[in-house]
Amino acid sequence: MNGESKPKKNEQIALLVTCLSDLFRPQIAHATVELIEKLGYRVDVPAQTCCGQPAYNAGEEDKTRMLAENMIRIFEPYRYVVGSSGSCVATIKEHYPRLFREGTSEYEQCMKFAQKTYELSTFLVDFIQVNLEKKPLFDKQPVRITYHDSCSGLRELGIRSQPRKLLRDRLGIDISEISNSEVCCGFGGLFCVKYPEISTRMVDNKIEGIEHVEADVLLGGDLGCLMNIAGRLRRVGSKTRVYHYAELLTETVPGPAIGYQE
Amino acid sequence: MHTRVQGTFEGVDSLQDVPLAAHRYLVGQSVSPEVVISPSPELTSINWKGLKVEFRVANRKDRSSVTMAFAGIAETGTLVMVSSKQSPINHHFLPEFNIAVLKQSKLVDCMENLWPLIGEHPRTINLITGPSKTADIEQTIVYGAHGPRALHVILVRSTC
Amino acid sequence: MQVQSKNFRKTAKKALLDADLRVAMGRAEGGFVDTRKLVVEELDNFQEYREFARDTKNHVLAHLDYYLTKFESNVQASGGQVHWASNGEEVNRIVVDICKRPEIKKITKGKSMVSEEFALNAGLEAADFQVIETDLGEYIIQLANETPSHIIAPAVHKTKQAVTDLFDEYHREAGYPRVVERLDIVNQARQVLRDHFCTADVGITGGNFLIADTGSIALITNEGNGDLTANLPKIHIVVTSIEKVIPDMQALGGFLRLLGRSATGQIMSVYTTLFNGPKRIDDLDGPEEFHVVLVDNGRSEILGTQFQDILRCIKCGACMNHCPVYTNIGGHAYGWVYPGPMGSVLTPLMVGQKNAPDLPYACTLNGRCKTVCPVMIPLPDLLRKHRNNLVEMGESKRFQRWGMWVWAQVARNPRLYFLMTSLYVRKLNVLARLLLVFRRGSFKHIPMLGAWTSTRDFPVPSTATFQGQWKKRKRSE
Repeated sequence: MNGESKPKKNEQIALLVTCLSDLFRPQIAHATVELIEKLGYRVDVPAQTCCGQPAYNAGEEDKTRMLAENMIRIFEPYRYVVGSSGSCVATIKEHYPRLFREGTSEYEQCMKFAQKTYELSTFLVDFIQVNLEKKPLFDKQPVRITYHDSCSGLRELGIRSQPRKLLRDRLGIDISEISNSEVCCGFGGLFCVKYPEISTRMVDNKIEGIEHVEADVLLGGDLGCLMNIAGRLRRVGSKTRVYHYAELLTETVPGPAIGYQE
Repeated sequence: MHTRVQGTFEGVDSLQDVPLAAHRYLVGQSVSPEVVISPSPELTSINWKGLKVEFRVANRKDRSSVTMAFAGIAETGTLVMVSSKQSPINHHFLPEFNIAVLKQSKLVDCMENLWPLIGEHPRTINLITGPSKTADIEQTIVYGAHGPRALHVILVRSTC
Repeated sequence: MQVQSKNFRKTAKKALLDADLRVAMGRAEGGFVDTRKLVVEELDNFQEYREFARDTKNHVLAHLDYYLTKFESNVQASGGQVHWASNGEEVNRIVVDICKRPEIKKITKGKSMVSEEFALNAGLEAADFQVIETDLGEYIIQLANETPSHIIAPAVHKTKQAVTDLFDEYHREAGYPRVVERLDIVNQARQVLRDHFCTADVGITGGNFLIADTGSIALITNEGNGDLTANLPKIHIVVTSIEKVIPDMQALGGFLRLLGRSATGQIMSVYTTLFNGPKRIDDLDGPEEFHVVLVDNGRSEILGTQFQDILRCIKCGACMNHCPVYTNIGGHAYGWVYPGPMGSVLTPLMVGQKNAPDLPYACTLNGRCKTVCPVMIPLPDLLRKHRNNLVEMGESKRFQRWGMWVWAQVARNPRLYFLMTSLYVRKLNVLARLLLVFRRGSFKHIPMLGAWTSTRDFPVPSTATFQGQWKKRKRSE
């Protein structure tokens, strides 16, 4: 069966790029590739588009189904698919199956896709059960790192301990937890532009938590949320920088944070 | 459990010890030892020496009442009151201080084991878990909203 | 209650600027969430009870007519009268008819959200009855001439100061002093309402559960006002809705374990009362008449639809306590009786989707409500279904629909998508180089994206998409 037993050495793994990373933060996809390749697997990136999450959440089921069929076809040749966004992976694993009628061949195809698709941290920790090697952090400077648990990953995929374990193994640090780490940051896809005032209040609440622990760095596993938080942090002049957790797990020192350039 | 829900509690050996315990409790609360008592056979048969007692329906002037619990639920510290000609309903709600007498033999572990003990349903079954309270002012708990400010349980250990 | 849900945007914005509301809601959110968590974790099989409650409610909803008929005949057997009301007007008429007697003047009322649906108080007042709300929170908002902003804490939006002023305004004439401390406020309400309890001619309460097997109404309160309302007057009227029926007493325990914990973080609320008919012949107190008004008001139309799950709701309020939108804007912004996630699902069904177009969208689909719902209602999924219906009805914004269509056409074709995204990042980068000389990495303003950039920076995309970079890497290998 697809994606159920651990991949063998050299086995090909398809990368789910996710559109936001594709456009705004290729570093996340590069980091994901590096982490998977380092385990001895080959990574392939089939030409792909969007999983349809924005359409799905806007209530556009027909368009989502069309895009889902597209994605299922694109990833059909692969036994494993890994992506670095909890909400995109949750769309595929949790919501795609609701778009097709049980018993149809489309549904079967969809279930196969859902089963073989993994979010990066669950792939590494729960599935491959990897213990990452320790590396020095940011030229050995002490850094306070906090974490935002993005809602889809947290509640639909159960991602909470996995990225924390990876960060502990790799950087030897524990997260300075914020009290509202599991509260929505106010992104919500279209929500943040449909109700900007409410969304801004929500991200401000999040930032209150971040400031309370005086974090230098905020990490998370979903670029939409991270762009929202980073955008607000920069606007209010905060010193906190924002990265995807995968960016801190690679060999190289991470470059400029989200929303910053060299 | 009853103390966890902010009720107070004491154990006595027999029904005959109830008046003294009730007296002690009321004096401790700086309330005069005048009580309106539910006319249940257990309570009417006791010698209420030292207290001024009346067996009738409670009215708004009564500060304290003594009631006889039908049962108690251990899981939640709940008193079970079953209305009848021996157990008027208002005794549980109108007075400021409510003393409930509960026989230990009438304790059940959970609600599921209570229902078989109650046959035909009376007008009301009151499950009472602690004194009256409200959190309607800024979500901070204040006791004695409309019902009793304090609920004191006297647990009677003897079986007779 | 008049439907104001169309004004969601406006009222929500106003609510965000209300400093008092922010203080009041901040206090509530922490309290509700933390206390609930403690008592839920303490019960090791909470999840089993949730599944039990879900399955029990599903079963009852599938056989609603059977259980309601059984309930009715058991109420009648214990001497009560049952009245069926298909809509709010009928409820108001039935209740007024019961009360229309020369000796009846004053009506006390326990908290009932159902009665808010059709403004029962206004209906009774129009028929010249004096109506007094007796739940402290309801009493406060009755004085303030407002509506509940939370289904179990109706005055959650009010600060202590506001209550002090309100009591001063309304109680001063009767000789009551101005009260500032919480305990004094509660005591004053106790005194004022005690007079009403003891002089009321009719008491109206709601009901939390209707037990079919015994014809009992289960009413749950903490203050004890429900019992004083139900037992002191000559007539007790229960106004409740049809989906609240459960099979038997054995099922009640499971629901009670869920309700207290989910609503207020209590292992059991202070007063859980089962009412069966009027006082018995030799009872010493209790009402002489007992009426149950069973309200449909649109619920049976939800039965059998894709929204049926919402009828499982036991009105605990956990979804709103855990909703990051509700806790920031409060309940009034939702514009009708039921706010927060369960309200956003229910309101469009009960008042029409066109009258509440924002509610299904006023949610980030973060799913926190779904994880705490004691009867496992998939609230975000139901909100998404509302959105889907709005799209299918052609009610969604044309601009949004058109945008989605264009985007979907591009996204179904990987080559076109690649070209368009590559072009997009390049253009934005050119723009960035021209504009952002001193402030690299983020735009402060982007035309058409003002809703984002009015309060947040927007990152400059990379110079080439990841897929573009990957192609290059593969070519060079």
